[in-house]
Amino acid sequence: MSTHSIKKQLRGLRAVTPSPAWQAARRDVLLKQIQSQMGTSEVPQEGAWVRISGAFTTFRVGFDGLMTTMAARSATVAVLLVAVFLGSSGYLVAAADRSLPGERLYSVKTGIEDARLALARAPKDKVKLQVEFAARRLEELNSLASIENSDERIAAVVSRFETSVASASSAVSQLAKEGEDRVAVAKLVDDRITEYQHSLQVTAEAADKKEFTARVDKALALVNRAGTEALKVIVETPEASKDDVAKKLDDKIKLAEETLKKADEKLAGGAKGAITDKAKSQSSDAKENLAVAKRKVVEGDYKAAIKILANIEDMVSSVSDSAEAAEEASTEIPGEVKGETNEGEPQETTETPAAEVLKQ
Amino acid sequence: MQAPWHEKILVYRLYEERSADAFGELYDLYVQPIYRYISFKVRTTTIAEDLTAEVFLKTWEYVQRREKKIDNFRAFIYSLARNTVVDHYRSQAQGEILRDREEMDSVPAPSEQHIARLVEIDSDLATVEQSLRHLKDEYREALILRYIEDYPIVDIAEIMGKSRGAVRVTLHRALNALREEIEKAERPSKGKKV
Repeated sequence: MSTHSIKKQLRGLRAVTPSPAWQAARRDVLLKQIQSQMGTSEVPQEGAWVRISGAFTTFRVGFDGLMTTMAARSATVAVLLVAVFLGSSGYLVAAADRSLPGERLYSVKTGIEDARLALARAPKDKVKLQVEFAARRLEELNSLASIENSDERIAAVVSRFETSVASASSAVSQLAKEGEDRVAVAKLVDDRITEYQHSLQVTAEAADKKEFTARVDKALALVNRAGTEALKVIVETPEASKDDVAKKLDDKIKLAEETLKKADEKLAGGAKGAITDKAKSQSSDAKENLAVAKRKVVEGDYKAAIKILANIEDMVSSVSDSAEAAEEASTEIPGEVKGETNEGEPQETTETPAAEVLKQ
Repeated sequence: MQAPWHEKILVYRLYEERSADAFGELYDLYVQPIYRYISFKVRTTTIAEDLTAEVFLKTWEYVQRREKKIDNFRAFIYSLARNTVVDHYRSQAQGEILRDREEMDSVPAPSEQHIARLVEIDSDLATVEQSLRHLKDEYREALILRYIEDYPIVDIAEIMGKSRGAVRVTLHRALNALREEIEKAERPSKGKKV
């Protein structure tokens, strides 16, 4: 059987699915279980005391982790650390502030961030914090870019960055529904978008590693999406600067066009197949929609333009992913990579996923 | 392919709002891939169904405990699925500890009911599926994630905890190993004489 046939047969195994009846029944059971848990007194109700105690728990988890690690080496060191912490916690926090993923104090750093988030009451305060933490992740990324063999740590940082950006953006959308100070919060996000994009691009260029660039490209797409969500809110306000909004829309359209152009080049040179054909068709649809969005901007109908752009960006993201897959499929004849396979490693398990997934 | 944006928003809602709707949507996104992933590692559809349900219940319980946030939901749920299958085998062995990964590698032959479902679709599919079960776990996993679920290399690298280069090497070796298994499976029928 040829490699092509094997791959085709493997794709055919997508036919292995649970029965629709089981799938639906299991969904019902799970959601009922969740809803009954939400209704019992065992589930903590939202309130300041719970949030504060939750924050301390979160902080304690990070601190305990540090203590466990240090105590494993030397009880004396652990005692000294407790004394230092109690005596001058500011120094510990400052030291943790400079730590990078994979370093011992990093869990303290992220524990403090989680505690601050839990203590923040107003959605606006949460957004401010998420925006600040996203910027910290970019600083960490910049530091990691020059360190060898840091791919896993980079992936973890980028993931956390994406979570912060998506959380901030989602909070903006929630505020829009609740009629709060949505414009100010949307502007908070909008103001940082250009900074994030610039920082990511500069770091990627400096690093000049293909793995790094691929990961950063995904993060850039997410940042762009967050910017679109913020712009949706801003565009609805009468006091929004028309020139400013028009320029941002133009920039987004140009970015979408460039992304589609790169994707089309990869699709033209990549592996052929159903996925490539579908991606080409999607690319064509996206371009048609971009033309409509451009017309709307010229006509001054910014609300319509941003709605179209939000849909286009999802399509562009999908086309870009397919193009990446097509390019990779056409170059899947790797050379040997020394020391990078984990054959024969013992299989560990715990109730919760392996620590690597959550490593920060 | 679902935009990662959408998934991030669902995870955010899961944590901030403890939204059952968001959990339901994540279930809809992942129930079939997780079921497939597990079913190629276990013997019967019943076991695959039970373990799949367990994965989602554990996911909810994990979110409830609010210890650490899930930054990469896809990597999280596949890791949880992997561990759930290993725990299943350990409990089957009744206290015997699986010493190394190779004990997981020879997955028992699927039940007749399981094969029959595939043969109905295509008998070649059944051959490929059975051959997949004979591969080492790492190879099987890489092939499932790449060619069945169609995940990009960068996502597979995060799920498996490897670099992209290492994933490519594993895929290359896995395809060769699968080809050998398929040829072995087809050989007796081709060699038969009347």
